[in-house]
Amino acid sequence: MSPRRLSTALLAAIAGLALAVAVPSGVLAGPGSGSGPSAEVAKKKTPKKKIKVGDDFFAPADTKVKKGTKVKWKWLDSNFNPHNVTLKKGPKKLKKKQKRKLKSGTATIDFKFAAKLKKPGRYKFVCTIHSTVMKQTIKVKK
Amino acid sequence: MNRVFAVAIAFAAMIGMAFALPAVAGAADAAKKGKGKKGKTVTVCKFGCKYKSVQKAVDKTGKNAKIKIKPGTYKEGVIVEGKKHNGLTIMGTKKKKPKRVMFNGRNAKYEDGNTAQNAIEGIDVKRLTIKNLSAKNYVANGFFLRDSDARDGDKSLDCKNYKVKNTYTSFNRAYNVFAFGCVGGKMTDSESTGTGDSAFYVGATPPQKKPKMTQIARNEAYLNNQAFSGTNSRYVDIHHNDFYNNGIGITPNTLDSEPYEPSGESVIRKNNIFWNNLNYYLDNSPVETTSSGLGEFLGTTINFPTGIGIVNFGVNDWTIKNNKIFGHFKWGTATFSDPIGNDGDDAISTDVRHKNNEMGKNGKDTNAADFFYDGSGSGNCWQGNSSSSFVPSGADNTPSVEELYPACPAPASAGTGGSGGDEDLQLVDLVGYVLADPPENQQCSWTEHPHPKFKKFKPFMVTPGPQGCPE
Repeated sequence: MSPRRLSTALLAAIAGLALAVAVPSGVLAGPGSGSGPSAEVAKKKTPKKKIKVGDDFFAPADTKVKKGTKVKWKWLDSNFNPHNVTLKKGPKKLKKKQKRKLKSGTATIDFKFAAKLKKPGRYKFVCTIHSTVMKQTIKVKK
Repeated sequence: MNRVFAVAIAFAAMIGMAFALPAVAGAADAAKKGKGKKGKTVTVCKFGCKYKSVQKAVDKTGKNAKIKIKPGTYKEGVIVEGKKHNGLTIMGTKKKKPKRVMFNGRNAKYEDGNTAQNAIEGIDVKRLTIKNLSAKNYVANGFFLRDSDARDGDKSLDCKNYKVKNTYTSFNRAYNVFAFGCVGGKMTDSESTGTGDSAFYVGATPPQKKPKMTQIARNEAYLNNQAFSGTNSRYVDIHHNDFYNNGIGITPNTLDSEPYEPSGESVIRKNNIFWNNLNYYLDNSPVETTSSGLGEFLGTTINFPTGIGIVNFGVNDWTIKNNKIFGHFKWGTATFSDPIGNDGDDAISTDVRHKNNEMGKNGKDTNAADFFYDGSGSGNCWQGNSSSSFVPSGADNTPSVEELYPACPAPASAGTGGSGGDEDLQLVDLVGYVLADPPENQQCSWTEHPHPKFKKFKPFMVTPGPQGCPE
C-alpha cells in the first residue's frame, strides 16, 4: 500500500469512526440526514415511511412501521396554518436526548423533518399549535 | 480626626448604608429574575461588523442582550428559543425608517436547508422586543412569538410581555405579526399590509386570574384579509388603530382546534375601522386568501365574509365602544355564533356589547347596514351608537328589531341562548353570504357608493368586480 493510499484509508477509517460516534443509537433526526455513496447503500436498506402534515391533520394519523424505519414528515403546499411534529410520549427505553430530537420546527409550507425510529414501542406525536386535533401514533415493531 | 467629625462620618455612612441596602437588595432580586442585569450589546451589518447574520448574533448573546441591526437586507429566518434569551431586544438602528432594515424571506433558508418560515420566531422567550424593523415575503409569518406548549392546564407561560414596535411588515403569506399562547404583550406603532390572513394576530391566550392585557395600538393595517384576528384570544385591548381596505377590519373567533376556548374579555375602542371591502376572492386582488374559511357545511366551504368592519364569531365578553366604523358595503359589525361543529358549544357569541360607536360617519359614508346579528347567544346589546341601521328581522317581524338588538344590559329574554340563531331572515342572509359560490360573488349583495375623503387615506377596490352576479 502506497503512503497515499494508506493515508486515504486512514482518513476513511477516521471518517467512518466519526460518523459512528456522531449518529445517536436510538434516533436520527433532521431534514437531510445521510449523503454519499455509503449512505446511499444504507438508504436502500432503510425502510421509509412518509407522513403528510396538513391543516390540521397528520396523514396517516396512526401507523405501524418496522424498527429502524426512517419516518419523513412533509408539510403540504396547501397549508395555511403553522404546524410542528413534537413527541409527547415515547417508549420507556427512549433516552431524554433522543426524545428531545423528536421535535421539528414550526412551519406552514415547504418544510421537511425526518427521524429514524429505532426503539420499538409507541411514539405519540402532536402539533403543539393544534394539540387538540393533530395527534399521531406511530407503533414501531421489533 | 476629631471625635465629632468621626461620629458624623459614621452617621453618614450608616445613613448611606440604610439607603444603599434596599437598592442593592432590589438589584439582586432583579438580577435573580433576570430583569435587571444588563446584557451584551452587539451590532449586525453586511460589512465591517462582528456579525453579518442576526441568527449568529442571537446565538452568541444571552439574557437582556441588545442586537442592533444596521440598514440592509437580511435573508434569514431567525429563531430565538428559550429563557436564556429573556429580555432580548432585536432592533434596527434607523428608528425613523424601519423599512431600511429589511428581513426578506424570498429564498431564505434555515441552516438545515429548510425554507425559512418567519423573519423572527421567538419561542418561550419572555420580554422579547422587536423594533424598528421590516419583514416581507416569508412563507409563514413576519414576526412570530409563541409558547411551545400552549395547552389547557399548562402553567409555565413562557411567552410573556413581548413588544413589537415600529415595524413594517408586508406580504408574508399568513400573518405579519403573530402571537400564540402568550401573556400580555404589545403590538404597537406598526404598519402592516398584504397578508393572506391577518396583519396582527393574537391567539390561544392562556386564562389568567389577574389578566395582563395585550395592547394592539396605534397601528395601520390595509390590504389584508383581516387587519386583526385572533382564535381563542383573550384580554386584548385594541385601540387607536386605523384598519382600512381589508376584507374585514377585526375578527375574533373561537375554534376547537386551538387551546383556551373561547375568545373573550377584550375591548375594541377608539379605532377608525373603515372601507374594509377588499374582495380578495377576485383574480385581480393584490392579496390572496390563505384561510380555509370557517369550515364546511354539507360539503360546501363556508368562506370568510368580506365587506365588514368587525365580525364577532362565537366570542364571549367583548366590548366595542367609541369606534368610528364606516364605509362598509355589507355590515358595520356582525355578531354570530358557530351553529355547526364546535364541540361543547364554546363558540356562542355572548355579552358582546356595542356602545357609543359612530357608525356610517353620521350618514356621510354609510355601512350598508350598521349592525347584523343572527340572534344567537345571550347578553348581546347595542346602545348609544350614532346613525344606527340594523339588518331587520324576519318578514313577520319576529323578533322585532328592538328585541333582536336590545339596549345594554340586554334583558335575559334576548337571544336564543344557544349557538343557533334566529331562523328567519338573519340566518338565511348569513348562510347565503358565506356560501356564495364562487365566493367573489359575496360582492353581488353589497351596497356600494363612493367614499368621501378621510384623513390621508385612499379607498381601494379590486376591479373588475364579479362578473357572474345572479340577476
